[in-house]
Amino acid sequence: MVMTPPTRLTAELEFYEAHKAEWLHSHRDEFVVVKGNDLLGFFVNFHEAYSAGVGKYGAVADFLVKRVVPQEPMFVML
Amino acid sequence: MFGPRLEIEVGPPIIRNRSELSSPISSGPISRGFFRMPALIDTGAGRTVMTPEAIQKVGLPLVDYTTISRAGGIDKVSAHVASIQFPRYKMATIEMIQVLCCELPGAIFHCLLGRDVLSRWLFTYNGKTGEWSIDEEGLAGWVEPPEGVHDVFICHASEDKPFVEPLVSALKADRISVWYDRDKIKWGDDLRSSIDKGLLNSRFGIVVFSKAFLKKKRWTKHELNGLFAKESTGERVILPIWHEVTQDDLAGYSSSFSDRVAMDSQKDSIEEIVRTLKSLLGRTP
Repeated sequence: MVMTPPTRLTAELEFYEAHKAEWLHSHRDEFVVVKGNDLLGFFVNFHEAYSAGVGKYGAVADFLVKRVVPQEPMFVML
Repeated sequence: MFGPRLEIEVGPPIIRNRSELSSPISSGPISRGFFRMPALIDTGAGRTVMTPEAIQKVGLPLVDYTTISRAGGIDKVSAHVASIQFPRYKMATIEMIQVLCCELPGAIFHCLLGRDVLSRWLFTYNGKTGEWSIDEEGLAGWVEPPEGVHDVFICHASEDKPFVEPLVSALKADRISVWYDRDKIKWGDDLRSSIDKGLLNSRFGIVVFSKAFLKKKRWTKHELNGLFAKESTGERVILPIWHEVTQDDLAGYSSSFSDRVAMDSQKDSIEEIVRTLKSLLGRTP
């Protein structure tokens, strides 16, 4: 197993993990947008979430867009 | 030698605002543009994948990390956002899609088009001749990438939000996974297409039939019968809810339509609707 740790979005991912349990109760299956420790909000789909992130932070800055789910999906490549 | 492949142009995501189309979002320090490359259609890939070289060349924005499983093991990879055009084909541009960053063997292709892209098309491959075709008739530009099947999706008119939003909250409170896209119906009148897309990702589809919903599109008897005919095809089932419509309102569209077994928001409480759905899902009511 090769697991390369993320080198960007580390603050955002830590913020997400710290709040995940809470958000699973209130925003399960929604898409959250986070930059640093700034929570922009929750959105019903990725399209809306990413567009809102660009509107707030611009197209160049890194920001996290993540679906609030109990278990992270694993995508299979055959 | 390789299987189905086509030429694509990859660029930054295209964002539309409410009133007009905007061009691709503004350039950053990395030079952004559309880059043409061959792509291989890969039915074994759950998501579309691009090589680090291609992602860097286009300057695709990073939004997340995720995990992939492949022959070489399990990898943590970055997830980026892109748009994809098909310059040599009469096919709709995919304006926004997540792509995963991963090395591909042989460096022959820099992009594998996965099932998230294929979910937009009817893709036919003739194994004897190697010919293939893509039919995207009736599909809209944006389809939510499949991240697992939801318990239910909800299709409704935006005017019925006061009824639908408490229903969604009640479903979620009972840990029913809901695919609820408030904007789909508000944007257009292609309700059949929206329902078809919802059914792709959900076990059941709740369709809230109201006067506003019926006005969104001039439904024909043929269309309504076709909508409900889906119930006989497999696991995914449409669950109609009559919302503030009368038998007379419905009979105006189709007698078979008005005779459908459905829940009625004026007779059945939200709790009753949730209980019924849980029972259909095989969960303890």
